[in-house]
Amino acid sequence: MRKIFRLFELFIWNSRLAIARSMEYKFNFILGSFISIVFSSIGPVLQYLIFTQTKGFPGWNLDQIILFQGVLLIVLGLRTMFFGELQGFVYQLVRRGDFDRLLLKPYPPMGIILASGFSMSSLGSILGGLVITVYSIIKLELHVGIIQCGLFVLFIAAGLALFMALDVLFACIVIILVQMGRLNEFFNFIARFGEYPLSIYPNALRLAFITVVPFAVWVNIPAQLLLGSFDAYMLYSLVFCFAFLFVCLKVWGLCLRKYTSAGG
Amino acid sequence: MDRFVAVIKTSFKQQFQYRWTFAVSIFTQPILLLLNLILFKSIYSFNGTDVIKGYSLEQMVWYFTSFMVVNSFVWNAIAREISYNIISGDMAIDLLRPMPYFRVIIAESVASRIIAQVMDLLPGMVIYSLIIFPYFLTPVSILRFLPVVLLAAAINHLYSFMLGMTAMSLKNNNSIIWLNDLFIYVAGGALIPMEFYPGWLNAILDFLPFKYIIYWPIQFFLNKESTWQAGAYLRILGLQLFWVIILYIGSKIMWRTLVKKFCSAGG
Repeated sequence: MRKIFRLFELFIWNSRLAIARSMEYKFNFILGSFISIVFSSIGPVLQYLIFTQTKGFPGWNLDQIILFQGVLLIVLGLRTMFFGELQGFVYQLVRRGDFDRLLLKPYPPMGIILASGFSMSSLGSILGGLVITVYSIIKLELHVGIIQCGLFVLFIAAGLALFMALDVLFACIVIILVQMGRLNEFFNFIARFGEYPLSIYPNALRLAFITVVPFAVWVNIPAQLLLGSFDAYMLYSLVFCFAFLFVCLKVWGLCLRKYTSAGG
Repeated sequence: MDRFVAVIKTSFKQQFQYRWTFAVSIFTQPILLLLNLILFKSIYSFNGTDVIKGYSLEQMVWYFTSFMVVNSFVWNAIAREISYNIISGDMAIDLLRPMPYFRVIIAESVASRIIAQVMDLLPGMVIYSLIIFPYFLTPVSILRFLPVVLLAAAINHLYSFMLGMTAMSLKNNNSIIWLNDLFIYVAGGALIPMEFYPGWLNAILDFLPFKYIIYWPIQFFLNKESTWQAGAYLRILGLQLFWVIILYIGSKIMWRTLVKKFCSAGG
């Protein structure tokens, strides 16, 4: 527990450094934040275009899908904020040979890696997501109680744990293969399956996204919670989510044993 | 010309060391293709139609994969490289080379696109065709597509060069590069077919170069009916040529102006 607390302190320290670095190029930071907000609006605008010119997706109307997009922006924004720099950090560590130094530190190496992913670039996405979500809640006249809010936060946290698990898996591959550029693309594309309503998928995939690869926790379940529906399958997803993280950490342990130094 | 070819050869050798990085799309694009197939199957079936905005299901799914095909010709890291060279201080050395910096960076980019064709596009097309076969492709449509996509590549390379040069005064121009990505994605039609956009927006975007980098090459690749007329074909080629000339002149003027003010830093 003390180690986790100290890793959290390290995360705060790294975050401060990242903010200071971002502020070094002020024009870049201000324009970047503005662009991030504009980027954030693209998803909802695209859904608007699809829904106004077709019937859209089964089981969702325009206002509901805009709410879905708002939640998606919050989740993706938080992911970037906590783990945005992580993949680049792991690449550099292994290529430069700095990973060996990390192994000598009095913390678990994965802990240090996870504490080094902070990025400021998604601030606009989070703000945009919050505005869209609140707007949709008002437009849809949804009553969101304390329990719903609590569950919403819980599933968002579970979603972040799932992203963390995928990043652990990413780090496993990088320390074994060393030179594998654009691997992040592969992981990002896989994660895109979680960015659409479950209703578009065939039954087998739907089941998979609730259980073995519980991508439903990212957006589908939090959006459903805000819309007022709660189902037992959501709890299964929660369990599978943390089980997935546990398995990924075990795989990391195995990969660490097989690691041979590279770079330098 | 010999020196230009020599730089292409050298860059090719350097970048070929990372050939598997280029080949990652072979694994990633089928994922995207499958995702789009599921998504649009669901939309087409829910709408009870075979055609949406002039696109059959097969063409709609391939629209997004076509972006990857077009990207294998037009993509470049010129803007990011210029920015990196300025921040790291390498630009000072680049300026001392016995060959114009413009040609060096274009030659390096050409080398990377050749590798992308061999390692990414060719095997990728085989795999994507196994998932959903592109029945719309004909030998004639491919021949018509090539000049359009090559001119698109020229526009994007010149545009990226101008974009990269903003780093001479800004040093870190990452935000400008993001802005460029935004324009390419939205104004170029990379996110969704532009037929979904309102008419007035399309009319405005006709006056910008982005449509001619992504949207029109995709239309020719998909062999859309709107590209069959010889007049339409020549009009697009003419407009692309117009943008190449404008951007070439613009990049020359920008280079001459900024390089005089350039002060090396970093390292």
